[in-house]
Amino acid sequence: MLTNAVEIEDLTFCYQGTRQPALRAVNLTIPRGEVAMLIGPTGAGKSTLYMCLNGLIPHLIQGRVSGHVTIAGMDTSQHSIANLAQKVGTVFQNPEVQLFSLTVRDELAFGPENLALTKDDIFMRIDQAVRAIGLMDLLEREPAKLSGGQQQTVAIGAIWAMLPDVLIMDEPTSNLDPESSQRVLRLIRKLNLEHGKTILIAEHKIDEVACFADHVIVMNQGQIVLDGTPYEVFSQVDRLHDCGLVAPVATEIANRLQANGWTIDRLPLTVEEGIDVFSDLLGTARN
Amino acid sequence: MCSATCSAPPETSSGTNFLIETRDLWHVYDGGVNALQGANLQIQPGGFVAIVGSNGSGKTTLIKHFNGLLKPTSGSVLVNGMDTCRTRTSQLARVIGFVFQNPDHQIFASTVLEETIFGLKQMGVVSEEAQERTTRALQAVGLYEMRNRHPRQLSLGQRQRLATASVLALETQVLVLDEPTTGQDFVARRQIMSLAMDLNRQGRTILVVTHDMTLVAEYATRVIVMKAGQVLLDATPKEVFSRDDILRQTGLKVPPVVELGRGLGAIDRAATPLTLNELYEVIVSKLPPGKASSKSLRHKPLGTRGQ
Ligand SMILES: Nc1ncnc2c1ncn2[C@@H]1O[C@H](COP(=O)(O)OP(=O)(O)O)[C@@H](O)[C@H]1O
Ligand SMILES: Nc1ncnc2c1ncn2[C@@H]1O[C@H](COP(=O)(O)OP(=O)(O)O)[C@@H](O)[C@H]1O
Ligand SMILES: [Mg+2]
Ligand SMILES: [Mg+2]
Repeated sequence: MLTNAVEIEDLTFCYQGTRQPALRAVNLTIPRGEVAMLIGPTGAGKSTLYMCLNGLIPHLIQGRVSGHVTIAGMDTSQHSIANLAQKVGTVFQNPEVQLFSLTVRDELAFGPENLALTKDDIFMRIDQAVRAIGLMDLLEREPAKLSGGQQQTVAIGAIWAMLPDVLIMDEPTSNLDPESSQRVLRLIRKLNLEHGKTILIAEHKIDEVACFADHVIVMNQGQIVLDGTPYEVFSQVDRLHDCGLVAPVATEIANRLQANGWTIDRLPLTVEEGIDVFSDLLGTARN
Repeated sequence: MCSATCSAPPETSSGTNFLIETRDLWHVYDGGVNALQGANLQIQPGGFVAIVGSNGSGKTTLIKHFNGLLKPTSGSVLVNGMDTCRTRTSQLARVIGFVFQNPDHQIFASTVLEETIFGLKQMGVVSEEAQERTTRALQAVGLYEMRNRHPRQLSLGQRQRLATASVLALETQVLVLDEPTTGQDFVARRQIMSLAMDLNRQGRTILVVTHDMTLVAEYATRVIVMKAGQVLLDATPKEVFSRDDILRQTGLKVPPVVELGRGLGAIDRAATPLTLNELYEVIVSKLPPGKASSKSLRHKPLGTRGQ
């Protein structure tokens, strides 16, 4: 039985035609069944790292690679993209690049049909995805003619229907309205808890996901600079600022209060925790 | 493309001093999707207007009418009093700068620099001035160092900033940005927004379509809430955030700062702070004296409005 979903050893990658490597000596292990969140400024290398996990690098994208990447027990340099796709599903940052069918229904069927499932199973998978993500009204529409957010939900649905062992989501909620983002994040949690799937997600909306992940990884300039539990990472507010990132709102305020001499025993991460901590400090009951 | 209504007798454009006005605007896409269903809206010059609403509510369709990219199926759109059905797109482009939701729809030059300067040349801006404006715009979005790169060699977030820079360089009276901070980190988001703020202070009107409620709280002077192809509400951020009914109907949420402020019993709901700095100040002002050491207050501005 595999214990790690992802093992990366000394991975360095330099895109063809550039001199600065986009990834520099990255080492990372993600245990099976974990939700790992990747954060970092734009250009840090998040998408590049994800493309190393689904095999686009080295098979499709040109450049210089060194190091080893194993995902779902497969060495990415030894398995084709199609092979890897049986176990590893990717929701790309720009959903348009992955939608190519004429209807949303066909788009959702494409993945499961390539998994050698029975017709009934395929039907069930699609039905589940449609209901979980709320795609009922879009089934007969053409993906290319949907709004940006709708395309993103279709891309998520298409991967959802495949139920891959490892799910890579590159900023999956970037185009979604606040309610849809929350729905997608809840679904990801459910997929993890109920199906034991390993999930790697890159996000910028730190407040929404502060406590969501088991494991938070911070990248900056092609390197992993912080790696730990949400508390371990987000409590290092100054380190985050150095990378051009911010901590959640409650953490930022608590950190500033601390810096100005107030005593706060444990930094809050979520709004809820913030309400508790600041109510205590203010000597008022919660309302 | 314009339907029958557009060939109706000209509206009297006098008497309206709105910068942009839509009157009973409908848009039906081929295939029958009613994306706009009687949207009415009036935008005054000089504002910083956020357009919000759930996915598919018609925001992108609406703003594409402002530069004539889409024409009404029925109803009308007036820009500076000009009916967009009777105005050439090139003329509208001199008034309205437009940054698309997906940058790859507008990027086609082979270097970052050429991409940024292209629109200026099209507008006949002479080369020295064009160079200057290009440099300023690229510096503002943090891409000047990458000016000789091919746009394909940028990350998606960087391409988005490039698309924004190209339009910023045009220095049009109105700047329309469709989800400009999507996928941007904190610093890039602040760079883009503070540039938009600068332009706004110089008297330009900014229209931003966004799901980012923190951005709305920090920058917008007005918020237009869309639902199912109509304008549901046009109000200040404070008013919108206090309308739980509207928020629920449209899939919106108040930003975390507002949620946190409201959860604290010591803060009057009507006076809920909108930005992190405001919330911090309010908390400090309500803290019992003597708890803090004598350290002087150290401020770390977080790039919010008015810093
Ligand atoms: N196709 C490409 N060719 C050359 N450089 C690239 C390419 N794609 C991305 N880069 C560069 O690699 C770095 C990392 O990019 P990316 O992984 O997309 O960052 P992130 O996803 O964290 O925003 C950036 O400096 C970017 O400019
Ligand atoms: N090119 C198109 N063809 C057909 N329908 C479209 C097209 N573009 C958008 N739509 C539909 O119009 C509605 C409004 O879309 P849009 O204006 O993009 O919404 P928003 O920007 O608020 O997310 C949606 O139902 C969308 O699917
Ligand atoms: Mg990326
Ligand atoms: Mg849109």
